[in-house]
Amino acid sequence: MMDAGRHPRIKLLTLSEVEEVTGYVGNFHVKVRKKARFVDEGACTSCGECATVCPVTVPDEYQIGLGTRKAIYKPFPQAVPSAYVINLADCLGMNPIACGKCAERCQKKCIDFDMRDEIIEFDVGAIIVATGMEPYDPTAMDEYGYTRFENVITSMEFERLICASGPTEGHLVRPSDHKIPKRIGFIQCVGSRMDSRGNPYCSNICCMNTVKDSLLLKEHYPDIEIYVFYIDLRAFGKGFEDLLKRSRQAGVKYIRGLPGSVVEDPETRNLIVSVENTTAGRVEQYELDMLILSVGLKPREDADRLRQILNLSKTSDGFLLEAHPKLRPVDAPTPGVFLAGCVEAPKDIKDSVTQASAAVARASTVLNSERLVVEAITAVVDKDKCTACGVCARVCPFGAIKFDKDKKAPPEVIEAMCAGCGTCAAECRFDAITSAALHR
Amino acid sequence: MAEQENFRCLRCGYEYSQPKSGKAQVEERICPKCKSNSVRKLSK
Amino acid sequence: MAAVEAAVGENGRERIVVFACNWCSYAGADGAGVARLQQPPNARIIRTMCSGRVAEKFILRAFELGAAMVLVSGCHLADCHYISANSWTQKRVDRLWDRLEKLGIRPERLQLEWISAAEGQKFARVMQEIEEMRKTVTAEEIEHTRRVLAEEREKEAVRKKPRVKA
Repeated sequence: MMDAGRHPRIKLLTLSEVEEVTGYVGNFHVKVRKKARFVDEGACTSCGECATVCPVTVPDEYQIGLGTRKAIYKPFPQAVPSAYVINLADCLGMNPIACGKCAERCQKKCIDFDMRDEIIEFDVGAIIVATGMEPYDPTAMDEYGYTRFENVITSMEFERLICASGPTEGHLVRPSDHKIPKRIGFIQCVGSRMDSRGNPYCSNICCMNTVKDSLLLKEHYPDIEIYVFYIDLRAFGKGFEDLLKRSRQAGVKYIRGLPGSVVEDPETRNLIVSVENTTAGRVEQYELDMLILSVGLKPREDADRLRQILNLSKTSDGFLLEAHPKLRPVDAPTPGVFLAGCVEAPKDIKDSVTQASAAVARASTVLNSERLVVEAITAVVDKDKCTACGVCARVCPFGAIKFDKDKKAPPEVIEAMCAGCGTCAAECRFDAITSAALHR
Repeated sequence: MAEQENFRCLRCGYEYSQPKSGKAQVEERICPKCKSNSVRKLSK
Repeated sequence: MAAVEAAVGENGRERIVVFACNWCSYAGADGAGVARLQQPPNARIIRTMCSGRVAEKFILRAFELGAAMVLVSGCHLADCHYISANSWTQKRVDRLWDRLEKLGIRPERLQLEWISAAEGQKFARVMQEIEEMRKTVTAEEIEHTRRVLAEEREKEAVRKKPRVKA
């Protein structure tokens, strides 16, 4: 990330949101809103003095609520750009200035309460969408007791606890009594592979994530007992089977069956898990000190806005549609737009990077062409017959027809976006738009 | 109870009903008897 | 339109007019041919880029010229080469079925089938089933259809007369 931030030909716009994209392949015009940071990015040295005097303490999102931060903060130690930011919602007030202690303390005088959002516009030839995903929130899965039982946590929270720069400096402690647990369970497929709640698809990474976590735990605490409750163990990638074998050899117990119920012992706060062990063919009970829910991935809640801006479609699982599942996996159906990473489907780091490289290669093809080949058959508007009803623009699957309903003028077909399907011509009641998609 | 929708197959004449699907996308209609897609949605 | 006229030809009573999309159904039909599957010889296939291109006026024209049966065929709903264009096809055919019934024309003379490039067998089977249905279409029925649709077209022409722009 630091390399990207430093690279002379990469312009990094953080705290920014794409508001509008117009145009077509080779000629996109983009409008971005860069939100106010209230700190001069270039001047801030991340000394941290401002945060020491800030009176507001709130839960830290990066630590999944397990730690705290101030209203003026650095998102995480390796953040790029390496500067602090003021969260407007948390700050006591800037207009009028309610506190102002951070600005007083800052020796570089780089805190500016008068900063405002900036609209930045520019032209690009190609767009790559890599906006990622969100973890599933298992609160809805009541039988596992997440948020009801203190010692039931998600895999994301586990990552923070075991991380050396996390809220417990890498020590795995139980939320209820801060003791180190002796028996831990991992429940797989939380929010994945189910029809009733969560999502029906497999989230790709959770099996291997748990295998990795189990080895990490055995390294830290060799005597810890680990139970993994699973439906299948998906260890398909390079080196994955080996990792799974090592996990088993280290003494991690894999039990084929997902728990039906989790009950809390009110005194010890331990969790009593009932599960049908399908390989052994009997119902078993396990008393565990801590339970980790291996949550799946889902599309971001705010993904629809960007989808509409770029006129992209979703597949039935809610992730973005690729132009062809096998032959064009990183192209979006819209020419000039490409996809990379989990925005297209759940996948791990290696596959995300592979897709990113592929998307860049595809985008380079566009950028390095002198001319672009577009569809030979495109729709043509007959201005005399057109009544400016707007139906053609509405039905076009590619958003290739520009129609301004206030202007009441015939629409404009963007040839570079028209795929030649002819739906507009079929829906037009006035024979005002033709598409030679019917072979004569 | 989800709203029921009535269908008639125009290939074999079979009539059946199905609960209204929550999905926004148009769904493929398949006659349970003859597997044809020529299934007409009947208005009540 | 010329393609529709050519397809129906002289002997409409025998005719099954098929609109097949380039990417799926036409390839499926081709597959049926390659596999030498038995098919009615009286069918005429018109290839469009997408089933979404098949406008109501093409289907009605085919019936007006005397075609006994019309089949509209395209990619399965989730597989359209043009993303969602075939969802408009479904809606359009739904509207046409209502309209045909109102005009006193049997809606089952218009058939809709989603056939992929790999479903040559399905194409052949569907064609045989439609041929069986075609045999139930009488000459009187076709005459009636031709009259009613010709009248409809007259009414449309009057309604659509280009307005004098001020």
